[in-house]
Amino acid sequence: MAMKKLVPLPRKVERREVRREDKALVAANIDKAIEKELLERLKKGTYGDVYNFPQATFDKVLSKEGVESDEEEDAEGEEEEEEELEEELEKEFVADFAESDEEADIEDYGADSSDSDTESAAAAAAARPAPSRTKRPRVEIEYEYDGPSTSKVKS
Amino acid sequence: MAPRSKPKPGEPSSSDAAAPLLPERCIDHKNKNIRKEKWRELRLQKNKEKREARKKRQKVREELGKDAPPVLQPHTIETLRIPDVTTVQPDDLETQQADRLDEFGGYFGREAAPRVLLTAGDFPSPKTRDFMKELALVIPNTEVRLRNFSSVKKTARVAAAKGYTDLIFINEDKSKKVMANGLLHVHLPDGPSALYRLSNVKLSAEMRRIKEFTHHRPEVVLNNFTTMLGHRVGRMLASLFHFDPEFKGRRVMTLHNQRDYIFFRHHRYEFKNEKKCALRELGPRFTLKLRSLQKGTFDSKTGEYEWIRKRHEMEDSRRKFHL
Repeated sequence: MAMKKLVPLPRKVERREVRREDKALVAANIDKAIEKELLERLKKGTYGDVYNFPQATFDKVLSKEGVESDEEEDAEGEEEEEEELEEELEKEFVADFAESDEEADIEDYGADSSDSDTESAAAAAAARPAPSRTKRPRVEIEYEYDGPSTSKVKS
Repeated sequence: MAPRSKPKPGEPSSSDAAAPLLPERCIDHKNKNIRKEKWRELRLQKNKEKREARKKRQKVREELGKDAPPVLQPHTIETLRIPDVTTVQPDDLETQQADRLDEFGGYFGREAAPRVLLTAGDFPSPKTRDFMKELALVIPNTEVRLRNFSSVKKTARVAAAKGYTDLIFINEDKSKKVMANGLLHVHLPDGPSALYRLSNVKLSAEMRRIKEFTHHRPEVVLNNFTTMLGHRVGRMLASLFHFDPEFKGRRVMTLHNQRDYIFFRHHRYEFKNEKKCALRELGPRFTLKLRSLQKGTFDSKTGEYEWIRKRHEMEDSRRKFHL
């Protein structure tokens, strides 16, 4: 019964650890860090085509010559890329380019993405330079849940 | 930082040969009154210089406008942290190779899906049981079992035989009001065992968000695991979760390391636009602090320790962190 061994915890140490934990929590600013990380992943395209933000994806499409081409990389290439990415200092994620996942999602979102694409095309084509961040028409983003949705998320 | 004031004439000036003495050290007069006076003058001078430097910087910033040098940031513990020799560089080939060969290489190579067995001490209290139930919801593919007075080693052996990939023990301290205070994570079959100090457990039942749980596989975010040890621990914790997250579920588990405390959070995220993301916290939250990392399965007597937190050796400096 290894866990039965009583290990003493000196009181002062306990107090110190609690205080330090509180301070670390404040310094951590966890919510911001998570947001930042998720936005980076969105930028990098780990979510593939799931989210349709006209500006971002349009820019990416312009620069990277299509997100689809990335997904069609062979598995080996992706694994290497994954492992490289996994070694990143502060950002480690468990499945970057889960190919099967993305493809399934794209099929699901096929209808949606085509709609938003046309919308975004229309928006961008309205005589405005591509990276312009000034006012652009508000685009509605639809999330499609397949089947009876089990989650109630208030947007 | 403000420039150091030069030693006043008449005081023994710092010797240039040896390591430069702090100018403050030069004000060592035997007479306390005079000493006090000298310190006071030195402080006043320092403050004055600081103020002048600040005014100058502000003036420069006004003049140059956009081209001005960036604003000086105040020091924090993170910026003053003693740099660790074993910090992992992003493109380190050695680490990549080691990662392929270590215990988690199989997981990251998608060989086996994780199966976690969660258990606690002999008579877990209701709070601990609730916590275990929630953990079982949060970590996919987890089973909760009550330990029938078997030892840790035996449980590990049996679990490995049954095909579990990880074993988690929750330790509790019944004498204190706050129940669960330790977490032992053993990676099976032969993997490292990490002993953590568990604290600040907040249940999702208390947050009343438990109804918002779904069964999608979550994403994992690991923040701030910089050193080699941190890298290893991060991979170990990441191997608990299934490697193929379902992005549809929009669930994210975060393990954020700050000053050697690992904060666990469970959120549901929603992108408002490409610049903003809304988070809604579900799920339990707790904090882990690594106490020791052992090479094989948990063995307090004959086990080979990779790393132990030895307070006297390791915590002599407030700027030194290990993860």
